[in-house]
Amino acid sequence: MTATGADLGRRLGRELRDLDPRAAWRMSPRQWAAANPGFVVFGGAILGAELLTAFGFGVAAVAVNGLVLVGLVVLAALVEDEPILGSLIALAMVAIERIISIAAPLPFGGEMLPIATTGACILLGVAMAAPRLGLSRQALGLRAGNPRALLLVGLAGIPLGLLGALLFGSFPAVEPGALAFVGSVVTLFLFAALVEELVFRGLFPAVVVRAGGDERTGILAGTAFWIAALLPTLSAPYIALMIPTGIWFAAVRLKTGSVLGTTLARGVMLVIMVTLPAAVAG
Amino acid sequence: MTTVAPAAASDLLSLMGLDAVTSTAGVVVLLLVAGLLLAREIARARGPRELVRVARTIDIIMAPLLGAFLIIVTSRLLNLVLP
Amino acid sequence: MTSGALGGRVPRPSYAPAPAVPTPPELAFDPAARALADRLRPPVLIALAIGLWAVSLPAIDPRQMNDLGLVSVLPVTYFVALAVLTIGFGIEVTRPELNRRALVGYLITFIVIVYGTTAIVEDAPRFAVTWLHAGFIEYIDRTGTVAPEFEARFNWPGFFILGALLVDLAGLDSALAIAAWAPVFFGLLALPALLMLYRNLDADERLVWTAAWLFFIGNWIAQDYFAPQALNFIFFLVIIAILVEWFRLPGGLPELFAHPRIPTRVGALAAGLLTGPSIPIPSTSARQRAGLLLVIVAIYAASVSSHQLTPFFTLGAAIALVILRHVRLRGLPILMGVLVTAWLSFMTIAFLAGHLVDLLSEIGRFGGTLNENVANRIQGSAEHQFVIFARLAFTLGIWGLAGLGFLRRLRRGSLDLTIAALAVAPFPFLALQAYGGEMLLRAYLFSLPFMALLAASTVQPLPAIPRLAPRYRAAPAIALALVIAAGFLVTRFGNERVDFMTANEHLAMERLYEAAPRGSLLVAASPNLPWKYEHLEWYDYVPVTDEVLVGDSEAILDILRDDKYPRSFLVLTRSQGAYADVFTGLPPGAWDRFVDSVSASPELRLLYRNADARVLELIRDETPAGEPAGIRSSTGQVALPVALPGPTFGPP
Repeated sequence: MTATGADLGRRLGRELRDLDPRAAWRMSPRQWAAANPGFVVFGGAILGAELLTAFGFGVAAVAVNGLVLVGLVVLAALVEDEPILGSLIALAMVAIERIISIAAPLPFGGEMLPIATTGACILLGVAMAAPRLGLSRQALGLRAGNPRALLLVGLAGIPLGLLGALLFGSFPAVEPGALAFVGSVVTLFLFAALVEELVFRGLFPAVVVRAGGDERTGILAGTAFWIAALLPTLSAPYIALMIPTGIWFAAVRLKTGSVLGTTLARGVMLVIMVTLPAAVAG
Repeated sequence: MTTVAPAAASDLLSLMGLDAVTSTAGVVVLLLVAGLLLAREIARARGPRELVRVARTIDIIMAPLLGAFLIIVTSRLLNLVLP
Repeated sequence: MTSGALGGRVPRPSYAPAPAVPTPPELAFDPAARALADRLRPPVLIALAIGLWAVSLPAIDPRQMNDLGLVSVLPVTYFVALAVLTIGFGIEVTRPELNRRALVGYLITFIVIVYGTTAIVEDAPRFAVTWLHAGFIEYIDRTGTVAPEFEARFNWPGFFILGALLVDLAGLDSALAIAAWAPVFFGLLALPALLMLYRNLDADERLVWTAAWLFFIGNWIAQDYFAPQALNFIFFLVIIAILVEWFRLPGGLPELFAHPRIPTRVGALAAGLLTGPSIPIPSTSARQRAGLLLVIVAIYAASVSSHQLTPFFTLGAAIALVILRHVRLRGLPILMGVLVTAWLSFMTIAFLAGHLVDLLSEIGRFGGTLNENVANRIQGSAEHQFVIFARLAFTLGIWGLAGLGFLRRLRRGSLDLTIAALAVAPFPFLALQAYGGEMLLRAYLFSLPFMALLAASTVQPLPAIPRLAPRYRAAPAIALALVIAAGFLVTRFGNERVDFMTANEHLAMERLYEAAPRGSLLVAASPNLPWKYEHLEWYDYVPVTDEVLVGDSEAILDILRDDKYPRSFLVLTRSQGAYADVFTGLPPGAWDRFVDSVSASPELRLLYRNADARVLELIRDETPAGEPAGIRSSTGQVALPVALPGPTFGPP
């Protein structure tokens, strides 16, 4: 670790960091990466794990992600700069998400229940992380902001959903019945959309800001890892759609300071992707 | 179509079967959970300085991992009784 | 003085050693003589007890036992030996200065005498299940593997793997060579763990020693035979002892009551009550604590892999200690839970596949569990029912004493939540599993260390009894101990007529194994015989208790006639007869008539017979004509029945 992040942190203190996530004195993405080689190394390992998953080596991916978590704990014993450690928590959440999605299947519940169980575990992780790292709801992007803007962003999920339905190869089956449909909608909004936005565009910028970087660095890093985490969806056209979508989501997060709009958009998109093909076929 | 439940994971499950997936990847989770819990208790036993950093880090990541462990155990047991 | 929980002024708990029994003035004039007497008394009494015991042994004939068990054949000298030990211990533990070596000597002598008698007077290891465990060990030793699909207990193979290792290292032919001494071995192992445990739960050393005595004299459950439970109980004691010695939290529960929201008087009262004895916590380095934690986890992992039940009792005790803020390591119960759950869900699938639904259906059936554990056992001969009621009374008596001890401690101003919690922690498991009708027994066992500590509080410190001279203050406590000791002999060895096996029965099984080729059917009148100790997987075993009860020989022959077996054998032993008499209440003589009736069947031929057993084989059509009725060895050679050494008989 270079002295820059630690010195900056000690000089300015945690309170000043939290005040202005875009202040000029904050480290640029390149500076931040140089000051946080651990983040780069672990990030590379996680990217490798996503590629392993995409190529069908799920068990190996779980092992790699497990080593990432072990490395994080070892680092916690060695590194005294706590904000730098805290920034690795976001990576830990990505690793844990992949571990759970592969290693914790269910013998029932179709394809929605695994989304709910994985998403619930990650939400729990974020809930544990936030108070321990001193992350406010604002820092995580959990603020309503302008309701009109939020709704407009959310409506963008409709064309995204239509395009996604067109491009994505296969779709999770939704059980027949109104209750199952409502359950699926809640699952997709709460345990898929919210989890993704909270981790990749909420937690990432929050911990990066906390470690002396600026908000843009964090959002870009989060979005990059989000794209990487979509590789195991195994649909190149879909991933190709998600890249500009991710960039746009990042811009919205940067502009509004909130993940709720993008959560709404992502949720609408996923619901349309799940229901439209079945409606068309039926 | 989501990061939380990608197609690659369900493909792996179809290929290997639930028992094989939980016996391999699940064992990795088990070792991780047990190892981290032990590390946390050792950190607590060793003293306050190491307690703060190591134990707090483990506290954060342990909650979702314990959730995963419980899902794996439940899965394996339910797989015995469900047709 | 402080306000007590029951109102009024009560003295603050005093954990200084209780005042010694005062020396009568007429005996105080010769200090040197008195000191010499005090020094010589323990070895003399111990030697006397051992001598009386040694004299008793030749007079004990297990074959003469009735349904009251071993107590029916114990000579007077045995009882005197036990009384000498009890009185000697009682005097020693109430002396002004404790002689710890003497106290250890008394305890060790008690363990050897009481727990070791059967190993000497019986010529084969007792309990049919001991032989089965030897069979598991033989299987592992022979094949180098376990077979969880074949036998449920192989899903928890740790004890048997350890046994196989021990058999190999010691160069033994079989674990049976050492099995008989298991109760003595495990009793001696338990002693230091108990003392360590008690020393960290109470500062009164006399109480500690008295509790240890009460534990051994209250342990009628006899789960210390050659079995995973015995070893795992030691694991349990060691883990809890380490936790309360080295991981004790200095402040504990009273600290919670220092909270500003709690009214001062209430907080002071609660803190006063909950403040336990001031027992120093040994100072340890961080590395030592980490090492001890690893030891706890290693022992617990060994327990998880070797017994179904003990890990849960250990987990329950750890949870109690953590909730009551008696120990740090708040995450230890979670780690324990993960380990035991992981073993169940990954390593016992073969067992759970066939039993999970049944196990789950027992949850919440508290009434059913009590029925299986208590009501269903009250059957059999009149004497056996007396033993059952004696056990119930003994158990309730121990628990009653524990309750009185708890109240006495409360009156003295101390609310021992930790000890009480540890004492009751095993009982909620009754609502989860019947464990084949044995859960209550196991709960008794795992609560006994703490019940004994509470029960000891009824007599330590010695209560002042009106109109009783101070020098006789220990007498009522010693008298109580003698009564408990007498009850102990009835309750612990009440089934001995059924439990003991003979060398003749073993010999008969040896002959059977020589004759029976692989794949044969072995039928017995009950599961109570010394079989399955070798080549466990070679045979199918069928105990036919119901058919014996109704005297249905034809039904037994039907089982033997099953065509899928190349050969079928029926083995009838003395131990099975005892089982039928004692547990099923067969009328006198019914067993002998049944044996004679079955043996007379023209479809069976007698292969071997001695005073305690008969081995019969079903005559099959495939048996070539003219072939002599003989014992066919597994290599195909035929040997005629021969007169064997000892009281044996040729074929009729």
